[in-house]
Amino acid sequence: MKILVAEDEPILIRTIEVRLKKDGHELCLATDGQQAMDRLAEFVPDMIITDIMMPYASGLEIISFTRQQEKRKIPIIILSSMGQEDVVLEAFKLGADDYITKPFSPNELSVRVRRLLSV
Amino acid sequence: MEVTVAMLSLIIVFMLIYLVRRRRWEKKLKEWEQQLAVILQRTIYFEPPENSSPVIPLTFRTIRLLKKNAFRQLLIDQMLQAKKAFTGTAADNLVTLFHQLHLDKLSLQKLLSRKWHLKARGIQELSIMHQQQHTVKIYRLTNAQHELVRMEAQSAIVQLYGFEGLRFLDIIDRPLSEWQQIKLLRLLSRTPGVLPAKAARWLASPNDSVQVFALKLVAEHQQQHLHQQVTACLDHPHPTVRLQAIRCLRDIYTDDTPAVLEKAYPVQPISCKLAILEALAHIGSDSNGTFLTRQLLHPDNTLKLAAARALVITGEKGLQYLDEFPLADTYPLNEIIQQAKTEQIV
Repeated sequence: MKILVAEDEPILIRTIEVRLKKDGHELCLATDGQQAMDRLAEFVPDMIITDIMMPYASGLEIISFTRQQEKRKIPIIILSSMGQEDVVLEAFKLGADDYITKPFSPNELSVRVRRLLSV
Repeated sequence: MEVTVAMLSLIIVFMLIYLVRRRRWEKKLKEWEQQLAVILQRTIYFEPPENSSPVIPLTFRTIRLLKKNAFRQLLIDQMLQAKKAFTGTAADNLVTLFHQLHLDKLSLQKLLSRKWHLKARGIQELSIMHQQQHTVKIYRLTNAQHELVRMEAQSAIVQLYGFEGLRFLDIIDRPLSEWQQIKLLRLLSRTPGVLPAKAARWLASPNDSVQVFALKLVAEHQQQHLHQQVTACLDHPHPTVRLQAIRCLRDIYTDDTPAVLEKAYPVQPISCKLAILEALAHIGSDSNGTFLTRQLLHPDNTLKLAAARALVITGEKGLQYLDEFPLADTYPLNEIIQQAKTEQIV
């Protein structure tokens, strides 16, 4: 499965990349919001994992952009920090499917990805 | 002329040497970063053995690089970033590596340094990596002279021990800044556990800022059983403590609270009077109507407005008090009453 990961923290994006590649997924990485939007214009992923706070475009913008463009529903997982409950609610309103609060366990992310992709 | 040429040549040579050295350093740094990324990924995904204590395997190259101070510091910085981002086995493995490489000694050196910024950094490193064996040294700094060192040490103790860590409130005689209080409340909101019974003692602390913080904790954690001790704070000589006590009583009120606040009202400064009227708007009832109506005669318009708002919020009877007030049609009371009524409709 092709997964687009948008995250601006190098250690996080690399760890997610290692874990999900190990699970057999093909990854497309974006280190800021604009890069993620550009990638979305080029191809349609099977899933999106996005951070909320990123330079140039936020995770919320990525969600609304995806939901406006898509022909079939792409599952979206958001990565949020503690204390961002309002933003998480906003993300769900815009169409996010699941969320993980940082700090998180890479294994937990792997389980959630598998669960969403099997639905 | 010759001197100028010589000087210029010398400057150019120095610039070239600087640029070459800088380029070499950047190249080295890039190599190190790649090496660190490998170490971190191996650590994060290391599967600890079931029967023996875990040892993260390291290459000879890494062991050789670890002799360099700059590399070790870079590793610590990246480990801290990773530790803040992950939980579970990944986070445990990072702590194992920190311990295995004796990086806590490096952090401890910083903590013992005379420079405040190094001290603060050392404390941060030890607390993020959960190095509880150094608690005593961190704890001593919770009352340090330098504000930022003090703040880091207090936050570290709370991060390591949660609510139990608040025991530093028993001993500190330096002020807890407003910002630090917010930081600690935020840290505690993510911590499981309950407020220790000694919170009652902090309400009577000789340190005013500890009292203010204790009042915030009592309100946040709905410690209704401390109502009497909070009420006693209304007699505190410092208005900041009294103001916080009023706000706290609003959150942990009982049937007696409105009467207690009415009784405390006359001797308070404007800020506390305002807080009492705002509290009565939330917890008051028809029985406070006469008291609130009297406040409409106060020369301060802010208090008049707060009293009018409270009367509007208390309901029908309050509105009746306002309409029947003899000066209700005179300026500025007519505008104030109109404003309070409009706010309620919105």
